[in-house]
Order: sequence, then C-alpha cells, then structure tokens
Amino acid sequence: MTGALKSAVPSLIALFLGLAVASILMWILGLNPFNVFYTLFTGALTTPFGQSSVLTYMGSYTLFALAFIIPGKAGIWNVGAQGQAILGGITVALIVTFVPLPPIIWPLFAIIAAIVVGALWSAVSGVLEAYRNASAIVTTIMLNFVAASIASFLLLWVIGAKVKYVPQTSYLTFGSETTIPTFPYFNTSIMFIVAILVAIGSAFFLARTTLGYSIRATGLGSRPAESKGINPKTMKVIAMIIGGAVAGLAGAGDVMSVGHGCYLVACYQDGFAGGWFGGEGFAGIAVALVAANNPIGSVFSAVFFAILASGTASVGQNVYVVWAMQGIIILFMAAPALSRGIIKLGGRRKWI
Amino acid sequence: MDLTPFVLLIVFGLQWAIPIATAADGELVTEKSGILNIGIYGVMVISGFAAAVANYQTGQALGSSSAYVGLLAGMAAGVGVNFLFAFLATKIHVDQVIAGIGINIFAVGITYVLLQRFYEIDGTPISNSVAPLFTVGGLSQGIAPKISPLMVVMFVLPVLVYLFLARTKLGLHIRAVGENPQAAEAAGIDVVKTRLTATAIGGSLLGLGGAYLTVDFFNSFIPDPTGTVFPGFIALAAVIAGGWSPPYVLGMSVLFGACVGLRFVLIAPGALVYLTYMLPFVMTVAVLGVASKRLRPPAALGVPYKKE
Repeated sequence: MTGALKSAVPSLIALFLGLAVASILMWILGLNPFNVFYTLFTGALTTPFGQSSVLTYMGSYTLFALAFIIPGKAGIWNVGAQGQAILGGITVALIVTFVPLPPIIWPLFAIIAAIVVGALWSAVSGVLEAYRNASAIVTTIMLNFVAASIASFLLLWVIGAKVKYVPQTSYLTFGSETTIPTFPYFNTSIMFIVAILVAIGSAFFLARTTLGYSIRATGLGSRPAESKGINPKTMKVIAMIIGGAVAGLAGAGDVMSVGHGCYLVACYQDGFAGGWFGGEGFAGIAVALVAANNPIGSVFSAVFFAILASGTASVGQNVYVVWAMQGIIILFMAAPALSRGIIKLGGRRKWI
Repeated sequence: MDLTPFVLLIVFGLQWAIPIATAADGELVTEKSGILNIGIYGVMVISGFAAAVANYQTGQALGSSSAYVGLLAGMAAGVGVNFLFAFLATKIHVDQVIAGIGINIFAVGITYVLLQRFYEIDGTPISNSVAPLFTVGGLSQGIAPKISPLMVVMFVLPVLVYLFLARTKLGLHIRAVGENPQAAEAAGIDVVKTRLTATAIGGSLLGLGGAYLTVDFFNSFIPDPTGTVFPGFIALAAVIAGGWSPPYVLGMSVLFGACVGLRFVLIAPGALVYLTYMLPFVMTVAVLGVASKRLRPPAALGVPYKKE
C-alpha cells in the first residue's frame, strides 16, 4: 500500500500545481478562486442533481481512463477512446432502432455489441502499430475523426435523425426497456458501479493473470518480453483490444443511461460536448495520468474530475472552465520528473 | 450543364486549403527540427482567438486594415505558444505527446472562458465590424465567394519552405538536429537554439493559418470544442500523408481542403458530407498502414535531446 501511495505523490504534485496555476488564471480574470472552488464543490456534492451527475461523470471518466491505462501498460498509446466510444454508442442506437428483442436481452445485447465494435475499432490501431510500425498515437487520433464521421453518417442516413444545425441533430431517446437500470436514490444509472467493478477487474487482471503479466512485460520492452517467450506484437494488439472494449462499454453506458440519448456526433448527454476531438475521451487521459496509470486510482481520480465537471453548472460556468484546468494539469503531468513516475510506459516511444 | 457547384467546390476547397496548407507548412518546419507538436490544433485555436480579438478591438480605429493587425496578432500568438511548447520540450524535456494533448484541451477551454468573460457571449462568435480582405464577386447566380490574398501565400509558402530547408544554413541546421542531434551537436550546432528557432518560425505559420480562419474566412471567432472549425488535426494529417515533403504536403492540403470545403458547397449538407469529411483521416491511416516503412519522418522526431 505504501508503494501505491508513494507512486501517487508525483501526480498529486502535478494536480496541485495545475490547480494553483488555474487559480492564478481565475484571479487574473477577476474571479475569486476560493469562491469558485467552494461553489463548485458544494454545488456538486450537496444538491441532488450535482450528486447524480458526479456519479454519472465518474462512471464515464473511470472507463475512459481504463481505456487509456490498459493499452498503456503494454507501451501502446490509446488516444482514441473517444472514437471507440462513439462507435459503441452508435451501435447501441442502431440496435435499439432496428433490432427488436425482448426487454432484458435488449440492453445486454446492445452493450455486448458496443463492446465488440469498440474492440474491433481499436484493434485496427493495435495491428498497425504492432505489425506495420505505425504509431498508435497518430492512428488513434485520426480514427477518432473517422469514427465521428461514420457515426454522424449513420445517424443521419440510416437512423434518420434530423439536422438542427451542423454538427448536431435531434435527440434520440430510448424507451425504458432499453436503458440501463437506475440506481435508487441518486437517480443515475448503475453504470458507475459497473465502472468501479471494471476498474477492480482490470487491476486484478493486470496484476494477477498470465495475460496481464505478459502485457506488463511487453510494456517494459520488447526484448525482455521476448526472452520470456512472450510475443510483444500479439500482446500489444490484445491490450489495445481490451482498451477499445472498455471504451465501447463507456460509449454504450453514456448513451443508454437514464435521460440520455444520442446526439449526432456528440452521442452524449448535453455537456458532454464534442465527439470529434474533445470530450470525455481526452478527459479520460487526464484522469489516467492523475491516477498514475493505476486502475484503482483511476476511480478516485475520476471522482475528482467528476466533481469539477458537475460543479461547473453551479458556478454558472460551462464545462470549458474544467477543460482549461484539465489542460493545465496535463501540461504539468508532462514534466519529466513527474511523468517518469506517472507514465511507466516502457520501450522507446516513437512517432510514426 | 451548370458548372456552379464545381466552381464553388474549387473555390471553397482552395479556401479551406489555405489554413490547412499554412499550418501544415508550419508543422513541417517544426517537425523537421525534431520537435513534435500535436498541440498544433490548440496553437491554431489560440492564435485564431488572438487574431479575432485584435481585429475586433482595432476595427474602430483602423477600419479594414485591422484585418492585417489581426493576422499579425495571430502570428505572434502562434509564435508565443509554439515557442513555449518548444521551450518546455527542449529545456525541461517534457513528454511532447502529453504536453501537446494538454495544449489542445487548454486552448479550447481558455478561449471559451475568455470569450464568455470579456465579451459576455456564450457560445456565439465575436463578429468583426470590418470588411474581409478582398472579395471576388459576381461568379454566378449571385454567389460571391471570397478569394483571399492568402491564397497566394499558400502556393508560395511550400517553395519558400523548400528553399529554406534545402538551401539555407539555418535550414540545414534544422534538418541536422531533426535527424541526428548528437552528430549535429558534435559538428558545433546548438541543438536547443536551432529547435527553438524552428518552432518559432513554424509557430508563425500555424498562427497565420488560425488567424486566416477568424479574420478572413469566418470573420469571427467560433469556439471549437468539437475540433471541426480549426483544421489542426487535418494539417497534422497532411504532413504525414505528404511524407514531410513541401510539394506533397501542399498537394495533400489542397485535396483535404476540398474534402472539408464540400460541406459549404452543398446547400443541404446531408449525411454524405461526413463521408468526405473523414477522407483526410482515412487516407492518412491508409498511408501509414501501407507505406509506413517507406515514410521518412525526421529520425529524431519527438525524441527528447539531452546534452551528454
């Protein structure tokens, strides 16, 4: 446990520095940072709406962070969770619209399909990196845009959503028989519990299973992995597939949770803007970095970012204040003294 | 046969090629020195914002020449942000990919916040009171697409970039530190200084690309949380698909510009637009998949350099 705490120190330093710089920026802009953070936290934690949205955000952020962490353990960078989740979300929308199934089987089938689609999509980048020497950083970024385009196309062309103005359409809502059950009291879907279970499962998988060990060994370098009889190429693809599967689950969860539906491109509840580039997929990277790439840590880190995100409504700001903060925190995470502790991605990382 | 749609496609395609090509040239110069800035999108957003604000604030005093102030402000902002990035990368040895992601997210957030704070506008653009740079009117059916003087810049820049990299001493140094910084250092080239210079030059072009959009094309700043307004990632794609060679990068930019510009040509955009919009990214992934072993990126791209 002390080891885990020790590895959390650099990310906490970066987090603190990031928040300090964000506070200075607020002060320059004429806002009182203490007031902002106070209203932000009380708004998120004391109102019923705030509490339920903290849990909703927390579930998504955790899954998006895991989608970055698991491939990261094999030394492969999944910057494409956004795209994988969008395709997962659109898969759910297609199934709900076109495939008639009995009530309980319906959501299960849709979720599994979303997971498969997310996994297949990320596999493309995994295979290109492992076998064609093309960096997953580039291909996942590029495929985010391709995924968003495909999702937009399908929503407009196949599902027949109406364009309000580019790039956003009408809101598709699903009937209660196709949504994920609600957690009592908090009025939020049980996705956040699923996310916590997936985080625990990932930690167990990486630490205790042979496959998890092989993935971690690959991250420490191809040579040493090969000497242990592990095929690093296969492991990279497998790690990427698992990451994409988790992202697909996140996409399904966002779309199928109560009150959620599907926007064109965004595929998310309002506030979760940005299917093309921004949004939760990138927030997930911030969450993963603050968690020092630790699956269990990502739950706690996700809670923090979820409070920031859901509290913004209470300070009369939009979510972009949090984007600015996330950006600053990520910049601090990139500092070598900190990133060495945070990102234990092995091997020589290359571009292209 | 009515040729208007084709003419429009060419005009809009070339208009969209301007920011893509300019930014791609900027990223090319930056990458040639071994600095990898995937925060190019964020740099464009910030410089676009700076340009729009400068244009708007000087509009009353300067009239239509405020557009040029805007362009200069955008270039200055591009130099500033890119230089800051290069400073972090060369002096503090930050992880370039993570820092790039950070800049992208920060840029979208901060411009939105500033817009709301100082212009009390939530999600709507700042409109400039000034006329666009210059307009070619009377094409047909009353449609008057603008042709920006920056179109000339777009076609001249690759030549200049090529000559600069191939024929000048500084260009040679930039390529040397991008390929093999250790050897360059041994030959007496200051690696850090060369990289800082290259990113500053590149930053001015990134800034010009971002400024073009807000000062000329849209004539306003549009907050861009979805990454569809500022084509930073398309420019990044054009550099890769163009194989780090100025003429090919220009060719890719023009092609990608047409893919984006199509959105503005069709009266009812419809679903098919999204299929062309993804073409730049599909092509780049395909190029990487098919020819990644033949691509020749600068050998030290994204690799931090520390003096022994």
